[in-house]
Amino acid sequence: MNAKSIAWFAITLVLPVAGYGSDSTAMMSPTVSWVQPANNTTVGVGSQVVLQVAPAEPGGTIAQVLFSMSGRILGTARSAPWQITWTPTAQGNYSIAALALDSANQGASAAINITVGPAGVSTSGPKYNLTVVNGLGSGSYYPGASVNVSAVPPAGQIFQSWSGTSVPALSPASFTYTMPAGDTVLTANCMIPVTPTLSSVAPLQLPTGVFSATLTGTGFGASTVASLGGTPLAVTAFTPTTLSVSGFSSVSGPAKISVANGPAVSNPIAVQVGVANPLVSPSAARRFLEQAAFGPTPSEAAHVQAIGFQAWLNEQFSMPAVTNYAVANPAGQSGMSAYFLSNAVTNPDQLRQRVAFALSQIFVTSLMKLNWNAYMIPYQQMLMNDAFTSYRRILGDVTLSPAMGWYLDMVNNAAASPANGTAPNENYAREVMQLFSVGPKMLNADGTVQKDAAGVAVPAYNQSHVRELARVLTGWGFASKTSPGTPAWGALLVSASVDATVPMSPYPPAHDYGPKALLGSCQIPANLTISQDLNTALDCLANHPNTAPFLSKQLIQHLVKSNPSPAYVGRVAAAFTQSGGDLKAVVTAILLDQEARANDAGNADQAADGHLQEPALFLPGLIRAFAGINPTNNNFAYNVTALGEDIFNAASVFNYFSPSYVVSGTGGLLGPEFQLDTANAAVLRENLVATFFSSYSNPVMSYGPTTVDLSPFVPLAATPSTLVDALDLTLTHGTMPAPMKQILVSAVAGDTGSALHQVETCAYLILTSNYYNVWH
Amino acid sequence: MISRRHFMKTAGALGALGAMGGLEAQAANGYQALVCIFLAGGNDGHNTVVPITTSLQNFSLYAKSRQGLALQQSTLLPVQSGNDVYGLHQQMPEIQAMYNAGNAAILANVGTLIAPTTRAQYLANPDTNMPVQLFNHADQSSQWQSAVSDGNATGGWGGLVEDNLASYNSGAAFSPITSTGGCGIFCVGQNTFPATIPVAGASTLIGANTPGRLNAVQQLMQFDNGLKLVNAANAYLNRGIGFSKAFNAALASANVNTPFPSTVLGQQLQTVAKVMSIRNALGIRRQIFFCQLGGFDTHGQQFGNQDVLLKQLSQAVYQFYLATQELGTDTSTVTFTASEFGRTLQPNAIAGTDHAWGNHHFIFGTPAAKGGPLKGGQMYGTFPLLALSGPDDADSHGTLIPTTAVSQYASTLAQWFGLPVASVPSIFKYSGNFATSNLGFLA
Repeated sequence: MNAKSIAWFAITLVLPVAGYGSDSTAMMSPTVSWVQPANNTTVGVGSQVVLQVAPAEPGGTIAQVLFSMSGRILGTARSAPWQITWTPTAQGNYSIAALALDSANQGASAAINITVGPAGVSTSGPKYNLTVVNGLGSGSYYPGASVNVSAVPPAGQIFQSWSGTSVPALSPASFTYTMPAGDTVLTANCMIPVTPTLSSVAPLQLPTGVFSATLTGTGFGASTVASLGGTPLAVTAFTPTTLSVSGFSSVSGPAKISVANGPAVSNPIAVQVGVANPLVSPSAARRFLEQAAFGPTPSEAAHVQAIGFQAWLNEQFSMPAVTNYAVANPAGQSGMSAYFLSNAVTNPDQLRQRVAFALSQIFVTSLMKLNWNAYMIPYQQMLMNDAFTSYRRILGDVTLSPAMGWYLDMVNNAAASPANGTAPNENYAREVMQLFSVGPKMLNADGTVQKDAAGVAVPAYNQSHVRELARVLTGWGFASKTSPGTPAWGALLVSASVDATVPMSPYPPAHDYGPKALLGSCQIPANLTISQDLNTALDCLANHPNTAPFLSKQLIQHLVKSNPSPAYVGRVAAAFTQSGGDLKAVVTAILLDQEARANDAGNADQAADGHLQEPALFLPGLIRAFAGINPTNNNFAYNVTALGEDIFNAASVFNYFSPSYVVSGTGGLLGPEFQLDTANAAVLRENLVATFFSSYSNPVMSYGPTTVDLSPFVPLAATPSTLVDALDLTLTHGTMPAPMKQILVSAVAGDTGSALHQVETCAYLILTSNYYNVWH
Repeated sequence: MISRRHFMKTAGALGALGAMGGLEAQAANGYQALVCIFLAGGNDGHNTVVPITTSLQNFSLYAKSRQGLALQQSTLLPVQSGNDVYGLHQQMPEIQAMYNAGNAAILANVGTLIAPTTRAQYLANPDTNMPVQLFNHADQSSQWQSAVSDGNATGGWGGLVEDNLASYNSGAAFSPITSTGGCGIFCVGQNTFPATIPVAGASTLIGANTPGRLNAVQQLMQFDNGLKLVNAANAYLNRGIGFSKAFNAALASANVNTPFPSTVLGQQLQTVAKVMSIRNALGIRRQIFFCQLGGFDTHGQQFGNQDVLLKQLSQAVYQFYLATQELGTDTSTVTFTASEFGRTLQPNAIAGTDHAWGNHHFIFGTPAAKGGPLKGGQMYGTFPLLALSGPDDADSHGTLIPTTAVSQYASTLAQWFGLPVASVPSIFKYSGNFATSNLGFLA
């Protein structure tokens, strides 16, 4: 394959920017042309080749010239005579590009082809004759030279195979032949087409979207074409009796595959495309999984199509937790985020993971203060295990978890001491109300804020309520490892005497047993036990009318959209209340609500729809879409942190971003995830995609041990609109608007690189578009 | 890390360097900069500036209210305002030196207020004419950054002031506000959006490396399919690409030799100095910077946690001042601290403090005697009585009611920065409620 490779490198762009002046279109730009070697020169492996260009910029200054080959920088020239010396180490055809950059980083590039032959291939000495029968490429060549030969069958015939000296077996009609040291005849054997026969197709059930299949039969050759329902497929390999094909179909239902040698067509074989009797469409299944999972994989989407939304939810609810943080390195301070991103791609308990992650962003603890994985792992495992239980259960488990006790200072909190002049610590009392239950403002049942006559939001609690609740939250210590059943009173989290894997333990001498007047007219009588005191207070918070809408709205924001209508919030809050806070009922209400499902066919966009994929969703999502592999030793921990979301290491209890963050320029729309999306982070996200999808010779993209295989898409690049359709279904659930598809088709058609390069261009453009980044 | 010996040598030289910097500033073309250092979490001002012997109170009252959390008097670093002697936390020797040289001023007991408030008023009507959601991190941060305390802020005072002064920055290809650390509403105006420059530098777009891809990226960025969040994300990306181009092109000429500590704040202020050094290439004459240092929410174990942070603040601020002398911007740059609230005088059961209200803050710059704007070496505002349940306490825990408003603090900075007096009420809505909108610490 004579692929033209495009070197990739960092350049700055000239783009008009609103608001801060426009870039002058009269800006200087450089030009560059090659001096030596000439285009299509042949050189020998191991020889020294001088690469020289003549860059110029009237009125400007050339700063440097970068020479590159197939994505690798060969060298840089920083002054005239603008040349480097290159020693090629492998034979082949290469495109060498020179990029001239001026002092303002404007660039111009030019490329030439160089053939690298065997060591000692020179450009002088004896040449030998190559005769190509039934084809092009005849001529005189040096030994070792690479010659492009291609078959030209006589009229009425098709190409079958090549024969001649040193011809690689099963060479296609056009290939590159290495000239031996002697006169040679190559013959393109052609034949009147034989009618092929088709005996089997495997699999007979083809998935919707991109698929691969193997056909068996007779009479196959280099020119054999396969088609599905009249649409040609791409043949990726062949023998006389087998064909490997790949293609794309978005239309479910029965179809026929047949093969042809020119006009001679085989018998058809019936196949089923997509799920037979699907309960939901391919688009709906994929969009649902953006909300209920870390995005669709092709197989998970087919499964949802086959069994429908409710049955899939039931499967997920009854699936015990697969994801297990116990395997992350407990003795360390990092590594959990790589595990998180691996689990998100790989593990089947997708909904549980999504819900647990949402809960971890409401009931926030952070390695910033916990410091060691050993303290965070039990906490995240608790949320994972509790994800489908009840809100009240979660509130209780969170409150008594050692991680939360340490994080928000409830541990070792004590009643007021006149002798020491101290009062109980207020931190957990405040945050359990502000963030974990009622929220700071009184809410209506639909989550809208109650306002007084002056239009000011009514507070849900005041300073007195905080202090009274602080009195309840006294007398809890870490459980003692050395004396189980008793607290290690006063011990720090890191103390060897502390068991950080079990709930905190009561310590009566430090408790305030007086009566307390909490918010919402909850009165706690004097002299309850420590546990009764706590449970009464937590019941009070769970039953407060604010809690159902406050929690429901945030869960909707994490799973579905940043700006749910008050009616949507109200319906989910009602399910919360009527079920007693059962998270299965709440999650079902969120995901099956008409507002969540309205846009499944992609024709019902509302201006306020959508939510920006946070980094922890964006990365697993794009890997899953391609059925990629993301092992636990992946390298993405760095990237999610650079993008602003250091998983489990939030800067404060207010999470990575606030649920009430308003996006500038949208007329007041909420966009919590936008709080991370600084202008710089937006560029970093694009760059991550570019780095990941930058292998132009190997169709398997890799980033450390993470891989995404683009092979199935490569044959589709021959028809840009088919490629765009395939990537639309893969990435944007098949509902991309036509004008956007047109932009992509033009970009693919205008991409002069290899088919693989075209696929990466299309994938890069979709993955970096905000149409993709904002799930809607 | 900067050794103490090094700073001791240079502290004496502050005066001479200041004079040189002044001459350079006069030659400069009207540049001014404000640098906000936000102490996130709520710094405990009570252990930052401690009365020793003052006309209002002595150290003993502080010690009695603070009990186990009181600092030892012998460890405090003395500073004087008139005849009153205060002590700074022992981890702030650089700031003490700056104060004594006139390069720092203290603003006492400042906090969010809508109108002057007394204990009696607060106890009688805690919800009338009071900032909403007092003691709540998110709301108080937003109120400090916007100078609006009714919950309806539409922009930060930094962004709105830059909107007003846009003519100074016309033609700039870069935002006039640079944030090195998580700027909230402070940096956002009607037409002003911050450039967030992480310490590693602005990122340049890679991957759109052919004309076809580049063109398609641009087309996709402009494609409007009707979703506002998609359009907003496109605007962010567009700004990011534009900022990085302007910034990276100018950064080639950035050169700041002054060393900075490799701490969170030190690195941010070093980035500020680098961006400041290319201000001419960026085309900015009124420039605002926002830095943030977290960890001040010392609900427990305050000793040990706060010390480390105050040391970091003191060292970084000092090195930054030296950098402005190197850049010739020392007489045109004013640096100031802010924080969402102060903390309770009374300690809690785990040797920490809880959310409170009024707090003490610092302003840094070149003193008037050396050609700068700062009337340093003194304390402004009214220092509160450090008595639990005393006349300045909103309750019994030492939640002290501010005697100066954020609105007044910010409008003083803004007016020096160039905001016309006539524009003050439109941004600082409560300016009519207080005796003055200019506290007078800047000439």
